[in-house]
Amino acid sequence: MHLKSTKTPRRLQRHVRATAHAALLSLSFCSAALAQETLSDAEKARLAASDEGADMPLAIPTLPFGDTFEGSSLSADWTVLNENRDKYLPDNGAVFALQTGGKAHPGGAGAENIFALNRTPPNEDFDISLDVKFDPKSGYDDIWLGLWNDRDDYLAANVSVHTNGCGPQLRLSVENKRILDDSAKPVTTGFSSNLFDGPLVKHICGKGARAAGDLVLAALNQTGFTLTLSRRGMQYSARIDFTVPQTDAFEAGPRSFSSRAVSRLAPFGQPFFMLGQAGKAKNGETTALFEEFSITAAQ
Amino acid sequence: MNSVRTIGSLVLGLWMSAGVIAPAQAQSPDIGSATDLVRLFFASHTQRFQAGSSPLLNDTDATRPFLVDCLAVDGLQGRLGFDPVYGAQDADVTELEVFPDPDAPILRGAAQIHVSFRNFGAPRLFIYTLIPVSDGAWQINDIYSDDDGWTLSGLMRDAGIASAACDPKSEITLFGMSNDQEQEAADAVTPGMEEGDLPGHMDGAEEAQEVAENDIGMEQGDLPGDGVVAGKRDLLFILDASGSMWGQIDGVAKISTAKQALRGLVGDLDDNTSVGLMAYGHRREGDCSDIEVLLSVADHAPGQVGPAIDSVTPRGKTPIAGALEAAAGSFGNPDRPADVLLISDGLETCGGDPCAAAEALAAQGIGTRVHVVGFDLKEEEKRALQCIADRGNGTYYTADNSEEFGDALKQIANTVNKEPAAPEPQPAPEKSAIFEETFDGPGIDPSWEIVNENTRLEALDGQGALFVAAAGKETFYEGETARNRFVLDSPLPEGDFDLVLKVRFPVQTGSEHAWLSVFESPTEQIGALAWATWKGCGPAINFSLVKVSGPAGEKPEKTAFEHNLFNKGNMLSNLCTDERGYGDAILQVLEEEGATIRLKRRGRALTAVFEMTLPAYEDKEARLYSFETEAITALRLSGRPSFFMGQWSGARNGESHFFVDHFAIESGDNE
Repeated sequence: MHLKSTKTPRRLQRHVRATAHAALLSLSFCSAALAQETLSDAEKARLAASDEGADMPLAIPTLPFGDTFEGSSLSADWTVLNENRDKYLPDNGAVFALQTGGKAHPGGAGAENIFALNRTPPNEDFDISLDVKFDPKSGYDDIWLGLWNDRDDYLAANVSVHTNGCGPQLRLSVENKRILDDSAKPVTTGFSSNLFDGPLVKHICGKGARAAGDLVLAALNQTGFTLTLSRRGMQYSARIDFTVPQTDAFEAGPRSFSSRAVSRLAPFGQPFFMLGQAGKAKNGETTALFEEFSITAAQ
Repeated sequence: MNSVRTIGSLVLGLWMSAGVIAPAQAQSPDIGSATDLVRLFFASHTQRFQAGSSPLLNDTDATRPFLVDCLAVDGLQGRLGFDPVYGAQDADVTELEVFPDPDAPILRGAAQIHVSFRNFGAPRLFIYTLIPVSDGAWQINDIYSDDDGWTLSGLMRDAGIASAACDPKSEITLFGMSNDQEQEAADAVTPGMEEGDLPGHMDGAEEAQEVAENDIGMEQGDLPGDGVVAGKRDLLFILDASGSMWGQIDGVAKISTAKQALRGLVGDLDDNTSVGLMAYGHRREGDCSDIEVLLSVADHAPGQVGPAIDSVTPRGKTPIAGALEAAAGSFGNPDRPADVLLISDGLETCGGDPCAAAEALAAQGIGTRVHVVGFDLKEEEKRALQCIADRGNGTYYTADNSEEFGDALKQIANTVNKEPAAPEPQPAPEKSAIFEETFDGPGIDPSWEIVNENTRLEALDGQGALFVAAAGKETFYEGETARNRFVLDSPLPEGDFDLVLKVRFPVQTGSEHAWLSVFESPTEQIGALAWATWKGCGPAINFSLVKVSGPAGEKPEKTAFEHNLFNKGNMLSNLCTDERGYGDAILQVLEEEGATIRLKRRGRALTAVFEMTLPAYEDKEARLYSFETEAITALRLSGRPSFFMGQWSGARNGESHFFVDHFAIESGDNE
């Protein structure tokens, strides 16, 4: 029996995805007629609309869709909105990004480097996932992942490290901003949970908890985490998966936390991710390494 | 702990040796490989214990290569509250021995492996039962403590722990895995790897989701207080779970074929049939009293019967007569036609007279019949079981293979379905629906007016429900500008009536409310209000009858009877003491199955009724819960039927979500 030294489920998933992509590629060369027959109704409708002179809408991604950011530039699948090339760098298997200035929020004016996929979201239930290594060194740092139409119309999962009296707190949120009533201001709804106030660390201000929390924050940069936005019907929720180190407060091992759900009645916008930074960061710098982006059909 | 550590260090070597023997085992499992599997399981468990990692039994992915799916439940050890591998909460293991049962290493196709050791010096003996699964590998089907008399499956049942379906054809086995899967399993027993803990959830409701949704584990003769429906035919399955059911036909264990076909039969039955499930021989070896009503005859929710069928594991003897005698007490209504279907692969082995028992059973009630499916029987055995059907006024079906077995059950389904339900001696009056909306689409009834409609927050979900989200400002039922108030463009019925609303919702803001009312204006209404609160002891359900009255633009006068259903002996006695888990289980049912809200008019009196099924939880059985408020007097009732889904301002930026399954106006004149 051949025993490999390490093999994680995540890598197994990548293998499956890669295989699926290879299979899809080979299929695309096999038979155009066959491909025509296998188009979804939505895809046929989209092509029909474009054939009648309408603006070509964005395509729906074939699932599973994945990008491990190989090479020294982003693929044509991506558009970087408000691009600032001094603040990101595709680098053979990851996109390194940094933020400064405290204005990096998907709902903010002038937010730089919103990485938008040139696709519309699938019509079926799906999970959008992002593998990230994240150094929350300014104390007001965010990762955003979701669907984005404009600054007043987005729905995103969010992992944030923001600081209060007991030091930096790790939060998982889902945020839903849109115009609910015509001619009215956009409404932002959502749910946010402080993982350092119950779910992971009982109370960060308590004895010994700060040290445990700091180890978790360090692990966000060392081993990283996966942020996921899941659509189930008309409901969307956020999830974070990561491995916590051994501490006095809890055992080492994988953890997964999910948010409550917000709603959209129809697919909208483009899948996107971005590195965020809140205004209180002042002169601080935030950095992150985006390692893999994927969209998979819900299981 | 040195002794424990020594055991753990053997894991990798055992792993590799097990892998070496895998090819031969795939065709013909031998007792040696069963012993190896148990030894590896024990060592894996021990290594995690020694490393201080999350227990093996808490990790479904890690246990599935060892255990049948029925036993692989997330967080199992934590929920049992002790370690069933050591039979204790702590361990210092010495003198470990793992060996086949000296007298019967393989009993009716199942391997019997002993694990003996000393724990803190005290001798301990466990007997592992293993069954062959999909690729010919073994999997652990149960653990029996010879010292304390418990079984793992029994502990789970007693704890109300719902298990996954058990299908030997789809089991993940240690030796049938791909290289990648093998490596993952190897990783799982390597200290420092990332396997282990039960995923958390921010609102802590995950455990409640795991609560058993059926009444598995009822003792013989137990009957739930609710769920029996009048005007129907009853059908009780008696499933032979004697050890011989592990015998194989066409390479598949007979119990697997029987379970699969039985599940199919349940799905083929029409709505006029209430079903129940009894088994014998499924808990203890050699015990002729091992007869249990797993589900009493009642109208069980979809999805309840399958898990009960799957929970049956063959072990013991064949007390057919005793089962038929016990069946007499298993029907909720003796005046209703009843069928009993006995599925057996063998003859009575407990000395009873099953033919006489069948005759006695058929003599009771109206049109009681005892049918038999004889599975894989010799000719003389068939004749013996034929007697049961003959004297039980039923039909005998023979099945020598799985195909014939399936065909037999289909014939039975046809027989039962075609049988006209006998008239009830005193048929209960049925309420007639004056108006009904099922939200099946493509649109809702044009009689609905949606006041302040906002299509960004309501839509049919395509699965028979209206999805409504509450978000933004003024989202409460008496709000003048509240969005998406559904008002039926129809006058109220003359006389007595019920407005009925079936709704599901998760409590995620703690400010949800579902409102069913007679609506004249936002400030002139009387209605039933199901609403959530979220205070110090966590979320709770409340229910009220409310009348608001006042001019538009002013705060209306309110008359109300308000009740916290999670307190003072309603659903719960006191949420803040020890009933949080049960409360969460109820909320899970509210989210998944929903509740029915009624606004009842009887003369001048209006009351509100809240109905839902409460789940089984620990020592509590599943039951139908109904609560009716005090009455509010309406001298001149006017308005239109209406419903509204909202949230209080305490929801802040949150959203409340609702799935409305059904609305009806029923006549109350028949009461």
